[in-house]
Amino acid sequence: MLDLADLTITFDGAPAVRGVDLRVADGDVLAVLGPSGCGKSTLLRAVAGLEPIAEGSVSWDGEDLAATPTHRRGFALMFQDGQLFDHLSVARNVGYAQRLRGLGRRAVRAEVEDLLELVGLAGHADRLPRTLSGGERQRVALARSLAARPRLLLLDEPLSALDTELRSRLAADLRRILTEAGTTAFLVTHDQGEAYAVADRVALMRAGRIVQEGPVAEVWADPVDSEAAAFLGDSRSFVGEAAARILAAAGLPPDPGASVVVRPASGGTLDHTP
Amino acid sequence: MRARVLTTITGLTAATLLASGCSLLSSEDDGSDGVGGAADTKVTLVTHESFAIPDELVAEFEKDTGFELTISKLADAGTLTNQLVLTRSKPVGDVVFGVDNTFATRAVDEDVLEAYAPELPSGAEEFELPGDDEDALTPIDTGSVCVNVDTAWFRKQGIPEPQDLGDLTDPAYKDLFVVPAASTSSPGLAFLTATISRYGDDWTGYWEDLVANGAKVVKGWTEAYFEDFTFSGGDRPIVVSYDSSPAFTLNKAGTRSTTRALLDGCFEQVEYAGVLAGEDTNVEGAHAVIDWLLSPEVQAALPPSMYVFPVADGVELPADWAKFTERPAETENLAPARIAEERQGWIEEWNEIISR
Amino acid sequence: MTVGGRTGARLGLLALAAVPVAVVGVFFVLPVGAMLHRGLWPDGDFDPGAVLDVLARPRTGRVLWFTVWTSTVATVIAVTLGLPAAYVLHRLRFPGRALVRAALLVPFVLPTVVVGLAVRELIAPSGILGSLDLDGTPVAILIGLVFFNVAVVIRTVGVAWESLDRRPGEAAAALGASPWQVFRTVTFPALRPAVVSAASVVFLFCATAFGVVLVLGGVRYSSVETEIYLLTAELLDLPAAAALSLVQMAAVVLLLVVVGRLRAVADPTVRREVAAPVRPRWRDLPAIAVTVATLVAVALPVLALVVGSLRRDGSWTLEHYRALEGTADGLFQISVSDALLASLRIAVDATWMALLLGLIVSFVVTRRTHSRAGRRSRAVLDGFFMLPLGVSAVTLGFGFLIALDEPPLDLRSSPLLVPIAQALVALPLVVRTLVPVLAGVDDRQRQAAASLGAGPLRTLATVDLAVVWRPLLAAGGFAFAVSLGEFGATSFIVRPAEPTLPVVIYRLLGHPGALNYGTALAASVVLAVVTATVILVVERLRVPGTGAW
Repeated sequence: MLDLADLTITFDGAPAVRGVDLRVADGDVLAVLGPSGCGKSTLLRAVAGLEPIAEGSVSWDGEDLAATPTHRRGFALMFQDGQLFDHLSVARNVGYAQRLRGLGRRAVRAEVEDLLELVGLAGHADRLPRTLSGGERQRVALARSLAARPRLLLLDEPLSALDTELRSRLAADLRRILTEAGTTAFLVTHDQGEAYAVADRVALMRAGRIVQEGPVAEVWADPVDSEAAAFLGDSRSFVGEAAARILAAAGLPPDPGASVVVRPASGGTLDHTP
Repeated sequence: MRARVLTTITGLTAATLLASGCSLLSSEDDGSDGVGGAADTKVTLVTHESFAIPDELVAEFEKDTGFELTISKLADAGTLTNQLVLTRSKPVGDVVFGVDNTFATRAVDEDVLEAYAPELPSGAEEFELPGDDEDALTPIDTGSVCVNVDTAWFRKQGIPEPQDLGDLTDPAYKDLFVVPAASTSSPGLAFLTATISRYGDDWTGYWEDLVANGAKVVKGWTEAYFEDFTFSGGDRPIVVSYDSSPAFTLNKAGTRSTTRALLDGCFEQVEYAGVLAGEDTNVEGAHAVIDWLLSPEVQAALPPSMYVFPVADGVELPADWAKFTERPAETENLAPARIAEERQGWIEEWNEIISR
Repeated sequence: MTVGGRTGARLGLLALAAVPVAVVGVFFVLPVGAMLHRGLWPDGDFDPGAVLDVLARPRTGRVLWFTVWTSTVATVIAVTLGLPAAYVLHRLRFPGRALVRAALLVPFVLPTVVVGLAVRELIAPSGILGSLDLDGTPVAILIGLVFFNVAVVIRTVGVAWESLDRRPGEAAAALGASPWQVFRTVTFPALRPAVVSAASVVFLFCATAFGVVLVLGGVRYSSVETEIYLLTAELLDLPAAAALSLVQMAAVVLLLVVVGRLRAVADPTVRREVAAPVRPRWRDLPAIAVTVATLVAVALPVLALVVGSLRRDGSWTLEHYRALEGTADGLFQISVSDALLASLRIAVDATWMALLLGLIVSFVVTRRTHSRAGRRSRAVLDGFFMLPLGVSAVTLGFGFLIALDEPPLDLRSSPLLVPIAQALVALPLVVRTLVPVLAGVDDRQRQAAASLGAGPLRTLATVDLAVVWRPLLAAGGFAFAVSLGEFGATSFIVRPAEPTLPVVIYRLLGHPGALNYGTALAASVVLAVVTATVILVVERLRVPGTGAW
């Protein structure tokens, strides 16, 4: 279990993250949702051990990680743009962490194939990252992160660089993959759709602080203040998993083929078309 | 893929180079070269670049004395002394040869040398450094820096040869004189000293006249003699060189020299040897080297090897030397102590005049 | 629990930085400091008056002025010739392009003594330009400086030019801009950082030139560098030498700061897009003409050198090359060809030292940092390793002799001293080649590797080494060439029994005899061929868009 206690991070004295308390239970997916510049990426990087902590602590299962360097935390980080190693093939990218663990060539190959299958890229093993599309690259990045068997998967706006259509498809895939693998994940995003589609719980972040935290449906249904409501209520359309969960939150019957449009003016009124 | 192959080859080459002992790291070092606490069988002679003694004589020295001689040619004569001063008490050798009388006082005053008074061969006493009461330096060879003229050229042009220093400022000899710089060459400094001795405080006026009369100043004796002097194919028939130089400019038949040294305004240079002061100096070896330099064999080898006269009299000179060189009866000399004291000021003033 | 996490990483970086700092400290700061100390505290007492006196001498003023004006004029000429050549060699496609590029680089890696000799052969009364009577004039020095430095402009600007996006220029053309207007309004502004950078480096090289001015300047003309040599080696006027050294260092630091400002870009992270070279068009003719002229101008002195090495008494001969097997009548303790072998061995050591130090320095100065203090200390560190560029080789050479004479640092007779000194000279070049490449790596690549469980070393191997190995090899080639040609510092510390080839060449020049002169020319040709070969290989290894300095 990840536990952030009173976490504060400063840049040259100016606080970017202020007194954040958060928990992610094993198997849970938590999304930190907030506008750009709110400090959520810094928060994520601090969890990964990439930012120095001014105050507070990051701990896992009760053990303070202050002295544990990034590569010993067992938290795999997936970047917005993937950050694949361009000079390595897809298979070698995905198998990177396994080779670090000293697995044999055959074992690595088998696991890489399984993972590529899982992310829907079977047969792409020998391609070079630059020859892939944006969506394919993100899938490879995801497979590479999962291959590390992380105790916590950190996702930095994993789908933001993709177009809407691809994003919603991949969001569903991501949710499925995380659930199937039982992975604990910590996701930061500015995109409500991404958060709703992937996460179990959501935390709203504003100007370095967490203003509200709870299950997706609860937060959506009951914003803590008007600013949160405005942010959450941004006119959006949701499809698939996200739509289903919003419907559930609104107490409406689930409808697999539904797309949901939220209108801010009507403050919580739903339109859904089967 | 050619580039790839090439890079692979380069990588392999680099690895091989390192592994196969091309690196100095893998070569065994013979250690100290006689410097700093070496075994007492090694002795290092520090000298200038012009030092040359036949290998047979070196072998003989090693056989006779049991010392292994390393000859370390460091720099030109001036730099040599300065380097000794800079590395005082931690010298890079045991014994030095090549400090001349324009630099000698500095070496003595800066305490870079240790006393040694060998038995001098007859004739050598007159070359001992005046004021060297501590026997720091031993004279080894001598030679005079004199103006040389290309007699063949003057005969061909039908112009009378210049006869003394004063003639060099005569418009008849405009653009005919080349001189090595006093700041960078020891014959150049010797010639400057000679003019100062001759003209006293008026020397600056003399040099202004020289420059006005088209004297060319070059970096070193080599440039002056081998590039600008008419004998070597240049276009200036008057050059500052040595009194021994005419022995090397014989006509085809070998019957006479095509150049001669003006015996007016010469400066007598003496080169000294001395034991370098330092904790780890091989004193015994240093003494052996100085004795060796004074031996009749080495003294006799000096003229053909280094174009200088031995300090010992009674040493037979090469035939051409005896026939074609003439040594000045009188030279323009200044006390070495005064040269040491005023040299820098002179050179600065001189620099001003020639770079105006 | 061991020290880990952030503190550990910081300690590790600090320890890493300590290695090159210690090396530069011992082999650069200490010797130079010792020389300055002797100059400024002549009799154990601080005597700033002597320094001020020196600066007030009329000759000092003349020397400074001469250095400034020759460097400025040479820089202007080098940039004027170098810009069109950079365009032709990096934007146009024609057969033999790589060869021409390598050929134009050769003068830069030639030993300065050889450059001086080559130019002298050209302008000597018997040379091709003999009738112009340039020998011993400032023009000769300018020719030498330009010959030596035009390669720097071509390379630095060329590299920037080849990775310049073509489209803004095309957009301007579509809006009606003439080719000249496109150059003036779009291309040149984009190239300006590279041009400024090249010009300042050239100025620096010109202002600190030693061998070229020494061989070509005669005694009338003295630059700051040769004046320091004169004051130190010939006159032992250490206060004056120290004064000039301080002036030189201050000027160099100032220049480096200015260049650093001009060169700084907001985001060093780059993906290099190399524009494909195009076939020459008619309007490229002027640029091609200038390039050909530059090529001829660079080739002429080299040609004069080759011809001189093959002629004796008016006929063709290989005698001078055969003489390389000998010791020039006992002038050296080893044969000239053995000196070449010694040079090569020294160069191998100097190369790995320069690469190791350069890699560490580049690695440390390109680490991302958030605090302002961290950024500043890295900038200072970066500049610190550029210092060897701006200090007289004479000061360094003599400094070695007086500073490294006490155990455990009695290294004066160590065979490693020469390669260490040469590595220091090559270090700035290596750092300048590697820093842009490493700075161009997205730090998140390293973070991605770390988050997947790769330790610092593994991360280095996966991310940094993957991009840096080719530039590293290229830098190695340059370090090798620089070491082969280094003359200034080497001439003071080389072991007499094991002279390097440039030292042998210089000594041969100082000894009478046509054979010695011819042998010096032949040895120069051999040295030029060896370095040119190295450079040709380096050129093959170069990653397009990188490798400027």
